[in-house]
Amino acid sequence: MALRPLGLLDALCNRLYGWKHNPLYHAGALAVAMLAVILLTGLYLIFFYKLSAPWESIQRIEEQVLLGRWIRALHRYASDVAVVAVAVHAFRMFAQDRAWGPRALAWVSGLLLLLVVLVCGWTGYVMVWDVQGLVLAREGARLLDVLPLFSEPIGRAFGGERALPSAFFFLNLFLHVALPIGIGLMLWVHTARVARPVLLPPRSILWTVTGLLLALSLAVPAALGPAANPLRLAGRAPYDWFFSFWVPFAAAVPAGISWTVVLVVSAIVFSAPWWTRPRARRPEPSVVDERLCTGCRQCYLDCPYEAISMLPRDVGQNDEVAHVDPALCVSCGICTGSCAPMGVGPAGRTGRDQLVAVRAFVARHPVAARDVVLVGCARGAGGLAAAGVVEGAPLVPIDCVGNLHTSMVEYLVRAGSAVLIVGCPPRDCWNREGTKWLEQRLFHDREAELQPRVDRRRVRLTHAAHGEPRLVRAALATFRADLAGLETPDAEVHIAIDTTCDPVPDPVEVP
Amino acid sequence: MTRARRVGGGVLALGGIVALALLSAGSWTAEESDHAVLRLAWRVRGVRVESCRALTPDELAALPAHMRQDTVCVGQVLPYHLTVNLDGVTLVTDSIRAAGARSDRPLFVSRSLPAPAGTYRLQIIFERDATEGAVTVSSDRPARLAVDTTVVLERGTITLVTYDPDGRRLVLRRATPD
Repeated sequence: MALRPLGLLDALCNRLYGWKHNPLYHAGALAVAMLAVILLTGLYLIFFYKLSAPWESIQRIEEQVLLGRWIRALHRYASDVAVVAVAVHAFRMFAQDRAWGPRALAWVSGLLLLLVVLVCGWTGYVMVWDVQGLVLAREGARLLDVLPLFSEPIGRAFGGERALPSAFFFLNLFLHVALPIGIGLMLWVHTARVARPVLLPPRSILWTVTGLLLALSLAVPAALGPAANPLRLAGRAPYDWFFSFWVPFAAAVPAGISWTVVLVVSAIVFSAPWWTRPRARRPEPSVVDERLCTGCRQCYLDCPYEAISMLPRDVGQNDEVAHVDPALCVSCGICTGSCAPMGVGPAGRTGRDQLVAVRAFVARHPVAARDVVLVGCARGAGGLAAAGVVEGAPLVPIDCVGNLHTSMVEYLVRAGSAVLIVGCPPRDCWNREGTKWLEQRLFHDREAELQPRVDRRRVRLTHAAHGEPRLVRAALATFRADLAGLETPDAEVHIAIDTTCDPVPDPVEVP
Repeated sequence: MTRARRVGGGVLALGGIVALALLSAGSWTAEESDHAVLRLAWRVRGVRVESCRALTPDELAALPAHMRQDTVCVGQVLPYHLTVNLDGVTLVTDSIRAAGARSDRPLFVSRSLPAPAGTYRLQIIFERDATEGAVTVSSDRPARLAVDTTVVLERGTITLVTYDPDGRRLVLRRATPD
């Protein structure tokens, strides 16, 4: 259900910007980039902040400090974009069913990161100590006062009985500076279970977004409300809805109800991946056939989740063997495609299983009925994976094109077919690097490569997200047009596929 | 990329930025400012009273040796009664108990009473409940605080009634003029 709106948005942005520059695909990295912008602008602003006169110092930044008004605006707008980017990233992970199992750590830590970002923003607005800051402080205090944490109600501090001590602003500033350090640590935890985490978006997106925010900062500097006065009614004042969205609700109901809502919503959001995940599909982790493993390390290098390690072999052999940690394996099957001798992969999805399936497929379809064979990612490929046939071309669905063993492609080509592989856009691969590694195996001789004897003109890789069936049909038409200019090869009948690596012999007892 | 897509991409980016600006600088009325508010906010250390009794020899014998005391006392901070009248209309009449799970913390009063702007006669009585037969541990705390005055409640402002511990009386404060 969540996948449909995401697919439509992806398709729209792909159409307008191309998949390489689709900001929705880079939301997580964009959030990190915005944190960097926030950090740099914050470092500049903090030099001019005065604990003894917070609002006045912000006013001075606005009016007297070199570039202060625009840097403050950039600081604020980048914070807003960071919140949106984190929310988009989390929604993608949820919609694509990528938030449970070994990915649960990333899901939980990501939501906690969002929470810390919101709290950090809360302290930032309180720092300003304008009307919005006072209301945020007061409502926050009202929520905290129902918890048995403090010896006296902290809300008293904002009632006007006494002047607010600068110690309060020091504590607030400390939190505003310390929380980003916590964000850095949590980001490390968040990416701990992925190999080669992408922490920055492509330069084109980074500079475009930063440039747009800079332009917005120049055109619409951040608002500064009237100075906080506990003895004046707040009236109508500017509010940043990205950080203050909860205030109208919290102000309208008793604090106990607010906490109940917070707890219920948090429980739902944190646990959503578990109670919405497909019940029928419990993917098995990859397994290694040690007799076939040559210790080449390619699966270890290609695994996007660092689930494979290389261990010394049994006694008598001095090389290594791959080992899959089931607790880390998400069953993406990318190791299947990376293993030339077909010795690793999830049960039923190894290279050898693919060869069995492709032999049966070729036997079922005469050459004339499969001039072009589509091999499509079951999750992307324009959502056509279940169609069976697209424009007269049979479609072979595969869990992820990163699973695809090049021997399967070779078999199809030698059997007289041309092969159009439709993967997800590389930055939207549900298994992170499936499309990228396949492209290198097909055309750039990455280990487990497509053999040189295969005519590359009869193999094509294209990308289409779930909501882009139009792209698949267009690519198919173009491919067919290009194939029309090529001579038709003879289909081989008895196709022998070699595994290029000799199996490792059984362990020999060493006396 | 076609011209139409470039234009569409630009429009979408611009729309996103405009939405960002609108949501980032939205406005909201946290409190209507077309009326006045009378805020009561103070903290008073209450008077602790204890009821003591001697333990029987059997009760003492049942206790571990290091916990045996001849008398046990059960104490509490006496509650206060708060009454607020504005032009003779009673706005608050309530019992204020000491904070804390054992009611042994100070007493906190925190009320915000909206009222139309205008001039009113304000009467506040904050009076300690009497308890007979109890031993007062400390008596240097105010037994009764009262205000009976004419007050001008201005539109958009909060008139604060709070406790002055030095003068041991309730005082009124309001926002300084801009």
